[in-house]
Amino acid sequence: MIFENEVELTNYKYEITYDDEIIKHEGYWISHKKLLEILPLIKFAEKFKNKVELDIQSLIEAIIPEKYKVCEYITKYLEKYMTLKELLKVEIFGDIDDNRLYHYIRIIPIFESSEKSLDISEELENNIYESPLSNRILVFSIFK
Amino acid sequence: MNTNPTSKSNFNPEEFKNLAMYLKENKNSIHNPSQISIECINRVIAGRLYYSVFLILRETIIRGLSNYSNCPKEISNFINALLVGSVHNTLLRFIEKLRDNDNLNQNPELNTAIRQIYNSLDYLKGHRVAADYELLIPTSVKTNRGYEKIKFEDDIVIAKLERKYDNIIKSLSKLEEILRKNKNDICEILREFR
Repeated sequence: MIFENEVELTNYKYEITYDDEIIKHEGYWISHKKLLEILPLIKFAEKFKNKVELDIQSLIEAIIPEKYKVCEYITKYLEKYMTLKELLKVEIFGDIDDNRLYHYIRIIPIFESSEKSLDISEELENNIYESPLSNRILVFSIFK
Repeated sequence: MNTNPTSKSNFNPEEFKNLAMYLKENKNSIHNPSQISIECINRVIAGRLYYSVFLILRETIIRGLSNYSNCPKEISNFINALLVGSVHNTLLRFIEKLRDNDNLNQNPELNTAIRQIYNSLDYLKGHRVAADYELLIPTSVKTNRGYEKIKFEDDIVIAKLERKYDNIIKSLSKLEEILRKNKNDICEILREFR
């Protein structure tokens, strides 16, 4: 049960009451398959637990083509920024419009307020869009 | 690059950017603690930057589509949607359709430019809406999940919005190229455009 091991690696607490397909997370029943699609993000949040905040429910709800690859792309891309002191926190969540027509993964990097942070944020935002996997990614930097 | 898409008789939306920069550079002399705060000046700058680039983008698209002859009805309907009603969302949705079209996104450089335009416009629009409608200080930009706090009185916010503005202006020629070279595919997009 690779998945069970993966879950144990994370800080996200799942009630292990599932039978193969469905598990319960914070009161919601979630398909195992849908959770696996965002597994790279879950592992990423575990690795950088002081800096990364995920909204798992909205991430699962967001319908994104090649979702696993997109999540993997996000984690590989963001990794090099995570140790920078200018980057205080990263929030990642599923962003779906009211009509539920447009689905994105929204990344909110929160930076300290400085000129250097501004340059880093621009680099982060501009380069992430070089991959076609970024079609459904939106980045929205904020300065504290 | 031509950032002056309107004719001489039309208002040039680049002036909104010029006004924003004037406000930024003269902030300290305009600032009057009892009447006009830095928060207020920066909110006006955010709004003018968004409207400047929104209008420039819209005029660029309208001008690009005016050369089309193969789907006049769809062009007419779409231009009308860009001018009346939910004009801001219409523009964003059109850029989104260009980005997602399989035939248009074969050129990585153009595709990257479209993604950057979309993200930059989304960023500017979020701040403009917060600047004009959210009275709390610090204020919040609305996302589909909730609200993200921003501080308009912090000059870094304005510097960031300027970068977003510049990103879009730098990518305008790529947008023009897409509009010029993909008439059939864009007509197809407009036939299905809602």
